[in-house]
Amino acid sequence: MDARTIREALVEGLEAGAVAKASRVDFRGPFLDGALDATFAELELDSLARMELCIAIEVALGVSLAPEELERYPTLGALVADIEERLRG
Amino acid sequence: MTFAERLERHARDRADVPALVSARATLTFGALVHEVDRLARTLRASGIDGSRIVGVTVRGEIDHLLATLALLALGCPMVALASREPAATRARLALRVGVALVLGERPDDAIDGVPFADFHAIRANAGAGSAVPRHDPSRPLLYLTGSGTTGEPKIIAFSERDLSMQSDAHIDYSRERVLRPAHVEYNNSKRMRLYTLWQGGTCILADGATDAPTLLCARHAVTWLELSPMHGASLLEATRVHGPLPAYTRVRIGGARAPIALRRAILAEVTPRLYVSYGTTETSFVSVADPTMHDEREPVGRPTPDTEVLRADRTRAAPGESGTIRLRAPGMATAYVGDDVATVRHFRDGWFEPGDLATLDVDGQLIIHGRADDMMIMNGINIYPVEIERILERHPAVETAAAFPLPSGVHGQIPVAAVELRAGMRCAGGELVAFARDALGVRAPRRVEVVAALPRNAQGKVLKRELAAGFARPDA
Repeated sequence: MDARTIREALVEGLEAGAVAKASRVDFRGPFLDGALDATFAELELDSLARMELCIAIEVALGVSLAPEELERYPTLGALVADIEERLRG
Repeated sequence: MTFAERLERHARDRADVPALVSARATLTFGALVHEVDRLARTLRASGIDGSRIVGVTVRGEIDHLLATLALLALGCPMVALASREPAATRARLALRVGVALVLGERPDDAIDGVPFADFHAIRANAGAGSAVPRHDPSRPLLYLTGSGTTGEPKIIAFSERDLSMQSDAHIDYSRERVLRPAHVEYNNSKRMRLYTLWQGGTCILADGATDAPTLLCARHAVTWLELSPMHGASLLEATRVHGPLPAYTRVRIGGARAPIALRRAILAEVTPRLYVSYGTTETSFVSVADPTMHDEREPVGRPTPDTEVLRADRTRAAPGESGTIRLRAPGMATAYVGDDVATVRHFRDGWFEPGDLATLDVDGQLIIHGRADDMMIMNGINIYPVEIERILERHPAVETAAAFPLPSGVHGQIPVAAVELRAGMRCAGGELVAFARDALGVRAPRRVEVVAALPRNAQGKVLKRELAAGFARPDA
């Protein structure tokens, strides 16, 4: 599974959680291309948005992640890298 | 009163009213009583009496009903071993019920180790034997199986008194001509025909005829057409091809959820006289929604006061609040045969608890949300498959939706769905996810897969276990 598919799943999850930034043109395209990253602080995820992101990752990618585990990742890019790693292993 | 006594009364009061009508034959109540009595005498002379349980494998609808009524007249317990079931299934049911004799038509209807009697050989001799003695109408005689979608089908037994009480609580068929296309070998079809006969009404029998229901209704002046939702969808097609139902024919749909889209299509294209009912094998009829009651909630009508909705703590739910339903009805079952665990679970304090989730709304309408076992719990949120299905089926491209859970170690169960699209329509799963999210928010399905055809069983019920198993994990 390539990084772009993972990034698409993350954007879908962020949109499901009504995270405003995820749909913005200056974020979405560059993020999917791997040209832009964002910290979780910037994204301002509430608890519902964290849950939606984890559910989207599980449904689209088959990777189980608890909402509180998101704290471990400084940025979305770090989360993408970890999912890639898990899918390879 | 026994069935035989009741039929004798009809034979006196309405001897010339047709009791059974098929393309091949018509039996009035007078003729029916005569035929049943002749057959009962001959069965008795062949050694069939109330002392052992008989398994019935008889395919013709009139023959099957004659066999059933003759066995009732003899006070002989019976169970249908349906010809359409595989031999192993029939043998298993015969063993569970304790069948000591098979009354069949063909050598392969026989079951290893159980004596066999040839129905047609006995019928050819009908008239032999002496008068049939009276028996106690409170003895369980009619064994029925419930749904087998969750493990082995449960077995219940009804006496003639039970059946008469159920019949009296049912829709009044005493002046009606009732067609239920589902075959008499299906339990509830047989029971509905018995109610009709008990009340003195007329059973119209398709009896293997493959004619469209609209044609049968016109030919036989049917006043009540009773269908499953799957047959309801076929009725739409039949109307388009063969023209409308007679104006006097009412349509009743029951046995499974009747989606509002199906109700609206029937109201618009088939008949304004559409009824949707709810009942269980154990209690029989519970409620019916009349033509004025169909709306987005998909109500099944206003039930009797013997219908309650309970919260998890077993207190009564407020109007509009959902919970598990419990039912009481005249002549209801009080136990399952040979299954103490299921009996304790479903029969409590004189009530039957089918395991359905329901709401009694503020206007008294009963709304069924599906089986409690089907309820999904995601992060503590209760989600009913049917609420997802109702929303997805509002999308113009969707014909039928089936929602079910994906198990998750983190979230419990994640709701997902599969849909069949309407002919000629195209729609991506992602669009349906977004459509459902607008209406359902956190209770929306997180993935919707478009499939060519949903897997179904012979009765048209969607097999969700199969869907769930086939819902490929994306990392595979």
